[in-house]
Amino acid sequence: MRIKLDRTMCDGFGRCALHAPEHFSLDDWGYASLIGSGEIAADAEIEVRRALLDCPVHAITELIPRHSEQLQT
Amino acid sequence: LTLTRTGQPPGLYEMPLGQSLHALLEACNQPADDLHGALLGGYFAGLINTRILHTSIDYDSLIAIGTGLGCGAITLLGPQDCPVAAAAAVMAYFDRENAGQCGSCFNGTAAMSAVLGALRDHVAQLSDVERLAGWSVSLRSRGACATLDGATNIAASLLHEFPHVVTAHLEGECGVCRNAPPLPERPFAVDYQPTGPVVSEANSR
Repeated sequence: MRIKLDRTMCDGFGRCALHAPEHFSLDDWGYASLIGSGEIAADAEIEVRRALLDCPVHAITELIPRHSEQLQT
Repeated sequence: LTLTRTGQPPGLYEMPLGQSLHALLEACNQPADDLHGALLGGYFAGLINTRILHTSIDYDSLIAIGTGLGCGAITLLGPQDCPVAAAAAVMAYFDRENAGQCGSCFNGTAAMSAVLGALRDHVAQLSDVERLAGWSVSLRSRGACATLDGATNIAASLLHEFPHVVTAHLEGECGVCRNAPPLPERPFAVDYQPTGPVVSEANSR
């Protein structure tokens, strides 16, 4: 699973860091930043997806491989 | 290079990479011994003390000493330019002019600007400077663009390059600031033209 965080969308609810603290860090004001490249290991997918679905402003999105890339792999 | 300096019109200089700023200033008959340091890369690469004068001006050498040439715009900090006041003015610019999109940025630049403004006015405490030092590291790369990185460069480089000036401001005894006029809204802007018929050097920034 690959995700990205849109920092301009983030309103500092902090739910992501609650669900997946190893993948989201918060600054002094509660605004989130992605830890790592956005590539999520399979064993962490459940908590990261929970964070994604729970974000009130939809700042976290999953990057779905495009059709052509799927065909190549 | 675009060289800006308080009290003098900005100038555009062509020089081969690898020469020192001291050699350039000498060739242009400009004083170099009274400088405190410089602001590099426009507002982005941060402040540097007098070691800039004898460093080779090229991209790799400047990165190696923890700063950067960036767009090639260099502001020389003369005897009337307190590094703390310069950092406060640039941080106020970042606070005022950022796009207001990322929370880390609009909060971070406002907080860093508040500390630097208080430090410039000799009313900051050690705990404020410690928080500034923390933000200058923790806020790095937390914005969607590089504005916040430029702002953290200003804060981190001030603390790293001019610790004695920061200490003087904490103790309320910066000699440079005592008589210096406040910097304009866009400090050291190249297109800044002093107004009024008679302009002394002290009023012209």
